[in-house]
Amino acid sequence: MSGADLRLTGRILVWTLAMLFLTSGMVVRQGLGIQRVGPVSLDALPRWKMFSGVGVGLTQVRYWQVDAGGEWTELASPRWVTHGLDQALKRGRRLCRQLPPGAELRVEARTSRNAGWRTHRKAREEDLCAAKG
Amino acid sequence: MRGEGLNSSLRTLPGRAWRWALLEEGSTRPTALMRIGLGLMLWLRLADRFLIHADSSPRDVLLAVIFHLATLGTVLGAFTRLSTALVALLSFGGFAWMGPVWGAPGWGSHNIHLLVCSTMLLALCPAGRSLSLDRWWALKRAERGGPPPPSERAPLWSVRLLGVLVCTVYLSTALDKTGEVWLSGHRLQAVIAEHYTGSALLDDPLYEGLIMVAAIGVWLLELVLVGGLLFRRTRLPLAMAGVLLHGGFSILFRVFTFSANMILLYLPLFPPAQVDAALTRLCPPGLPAESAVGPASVATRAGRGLLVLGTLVALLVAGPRLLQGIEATVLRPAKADRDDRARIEREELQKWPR
Repeated sequence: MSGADLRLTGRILVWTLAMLFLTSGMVVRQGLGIQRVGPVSLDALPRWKMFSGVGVGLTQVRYWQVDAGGEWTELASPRWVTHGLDQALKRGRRLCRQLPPGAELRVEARTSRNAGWRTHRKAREEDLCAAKG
Repeated sequence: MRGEGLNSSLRTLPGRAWRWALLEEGSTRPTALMRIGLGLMLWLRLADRFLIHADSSPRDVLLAVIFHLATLGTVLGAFTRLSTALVALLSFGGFAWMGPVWGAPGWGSHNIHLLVCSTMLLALCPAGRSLSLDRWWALKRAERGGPPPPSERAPLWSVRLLGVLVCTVYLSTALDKTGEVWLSGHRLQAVIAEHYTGSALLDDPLYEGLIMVAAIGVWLLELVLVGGLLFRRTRLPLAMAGVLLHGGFSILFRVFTFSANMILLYLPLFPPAQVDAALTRLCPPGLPAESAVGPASVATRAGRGLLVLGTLVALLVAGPRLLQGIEATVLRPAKADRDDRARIEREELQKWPR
């Protein structure tokens, strides 16, 4: 093998290894969702997932008072509760003390995640003021 | 005949790709510019992880000394092969080992990952043949009767890998964004809500529509950038669009060196002769004509070269600072308003019930 052929073979080898390294993260971590192999983490394989830790965990909350006729009225309130659904439910239960006896309070909430907004459907079905009884 | 067959096969697209990736040679000046830029970025981003304190262990002291000497050598082009190899080893070691195994903080972000990949590939490149102390010393040796300096023309196979890195980043991010979550605008809404709007506008249909259009636009641009930067006709307009995209991200969000790193990596995608021609146009050879009334100009080619180099270095160093200054004076007051709004919202919630 001549020197030129050896150099070309070396370049092909390096290119192949580099391409394998650069695309492995996409295939294994992004495509197949494999993040570990046994005890070994695959974090060193390149994968570019932007803003994965940003805008996560924000919970948008709306409180609704339900009257005896079943009509829903949104309470004028700020809509953010940044500490998640539990915080929103706790605040809502304390809000019940300010409402007239027998009032129903429902909460609509959704939390931002990397996989999109997650709507808390069960929260909407629960009367927060019923628990105080 | 074999030669004719080879020539004709190289004219096909796979043949041209083969030649582009493995066989072409060109000027090493664009690679030198990348070397300087990446060296400065390493200082900006990783230097704080290699500091010496009163209670530093001998291991930490050794790593810090090696890092700072190697990055200095990278920026100045001194013992370039050794410097870039050490920097590549340290940065990959930090990313793959110091962070996950030793628990050293701050190694896991994607902007560091891009910087690590860039420095690893830079170590394979002939980055010291131009705009470097290595070249200065080689010229001095030649003047004293020593061997001629290495040519500023070298094989580009390793430099092309840096261009391929850009394309794989865009492919990875475009694939990640392919789905209802991003294309509906929901993720971008949440990101902007955290940084700027709070809960306001989240249910405004017009705002939702605008964000969705922006999200689809970003996705489409990244998809097109995957391959469009590789072709002559589309390279320059797409590079300009990419610069605007990354500039926007850099101003609006905390992306550290990612945007600057990506823009710098556009360089290897341009033919070195084109970059050289642009540099020569900015800085033509020969002595400038003396003006009867103006001050004496820089009279030597070396002086002009140093002036260009100094300007580029100043831009690379000042650029991030300028953006930080804009954030501090223009955007931070607005961010303070947003923080206040979020704080007011939380305080209002805490007020009820009394």
